[in-house]
Amino acid sequence: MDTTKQILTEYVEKEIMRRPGGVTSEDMDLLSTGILNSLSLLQLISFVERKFNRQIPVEEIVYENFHSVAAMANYLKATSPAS
Amino acid sequence: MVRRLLLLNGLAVVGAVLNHTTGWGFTAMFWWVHRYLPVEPPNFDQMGSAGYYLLLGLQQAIMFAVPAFLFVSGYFIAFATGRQDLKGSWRLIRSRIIYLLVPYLVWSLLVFAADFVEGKRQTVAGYAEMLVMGRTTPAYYFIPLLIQLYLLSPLLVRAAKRYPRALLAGTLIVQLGVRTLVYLDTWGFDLGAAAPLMELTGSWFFPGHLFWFSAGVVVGLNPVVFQRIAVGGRKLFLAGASFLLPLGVLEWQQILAGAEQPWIPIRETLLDSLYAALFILAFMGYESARIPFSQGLEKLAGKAFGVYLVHSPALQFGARAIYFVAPWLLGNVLLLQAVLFAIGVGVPLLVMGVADLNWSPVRRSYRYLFG
Repeated sequence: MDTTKQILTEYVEKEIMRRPGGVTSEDMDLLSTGILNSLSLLQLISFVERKFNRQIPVEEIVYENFHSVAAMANYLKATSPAS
Repeated sequence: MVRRLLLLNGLAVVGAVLNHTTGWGFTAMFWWVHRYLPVEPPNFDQMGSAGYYLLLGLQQAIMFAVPAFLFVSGYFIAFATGRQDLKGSWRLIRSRIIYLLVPYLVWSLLVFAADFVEGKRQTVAGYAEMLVMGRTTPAYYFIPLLIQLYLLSPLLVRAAKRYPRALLAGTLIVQLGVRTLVYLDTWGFDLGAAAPLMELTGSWFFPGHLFWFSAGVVVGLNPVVFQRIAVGGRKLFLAGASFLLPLGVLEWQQILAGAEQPWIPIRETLLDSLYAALFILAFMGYESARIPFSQGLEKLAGKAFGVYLVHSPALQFGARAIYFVAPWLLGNVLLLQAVLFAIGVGVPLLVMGVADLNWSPVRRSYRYLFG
């Protein structure tokens, strides 16, 4: 697993699920499984902005970009200043 | 915008706790006054005092709290289900409801058990009614309310996509209609054949709060437009909210003056609704304005549901402990509020912190206890 995915997985498992190994796959839908609620979603996005030093435009905060670890990692990679 | 929403919710958590500490403040002022003054309760001589207006002012200031929670919930549902098919949406809604319902039932049963030990007994139907209408504690109406709104959300999201303005207008009319009914009932108007409409006005029932959730849904689907409006009109929104704050206090005095009793439980009025809307818009509009303790508020926002569930029984216990052990405190409005606030926020955070410890036997069930 690459570093970005690892960081995101660790955050979700530690801060939201409170269960190591809770994210069983990087494609696990964190929303339909009930792992993310309204406030934990906001916290997650806030964490992503701080950790990866990004200001995520509000129009890009959509299900497709944030529903799984893989989706978030792909979004961050695609929108990285270096890419 | 996200961090601003998180901060708004952090403030809303503070507001929700203060809403109930001020409620206990009024209880101490009118019904428990015999514990520190030589009078018979209830006694309303302190109405109009500085302490009375402090409590009223606090209550007025935090009127944005429940609207803010519902607004963010609507935003989330739009985010999570806006582009999903119906099956996917219902899967998400189902899991959301489970993580609302299970903690709600756990804490409700604990409160029932505590009441039972004290000799307060209900019939099975009575317990069922309390659960459905969120009457276990004064704060718990919010859970049945939110569950109803989540169940309605596929319809609301669909309407928000196709007819956002009509949805906002329609839900606003319904909500303001409910507020108007509350005024009429408070002033003793005979509603005649329309009397059954009063059933719509319960805090736990969705018509009285439909606009806030729907607004969140519309904003969730149109965040850029919302941001433009909030930022563009922020000075006006701030001025409006500031003007409505003292006006809301005066409004409540007028409502009380026309009521048939010396005191009625505070409820959201038409002006309060306008104040809440302007507050939220102003807060979101001043997106760069620094808020003191913002990191703490963001962390608190993440624990909102747990704080919400635990603070109400904690305050009940704390206020009654003060009644017996330190009744002199009941007569000091400011100090009582500070102590109750510390209990209302501190006890839930402590309980959640202990439950979250590595060795805690309930750590694995944390989400079923605190959402």
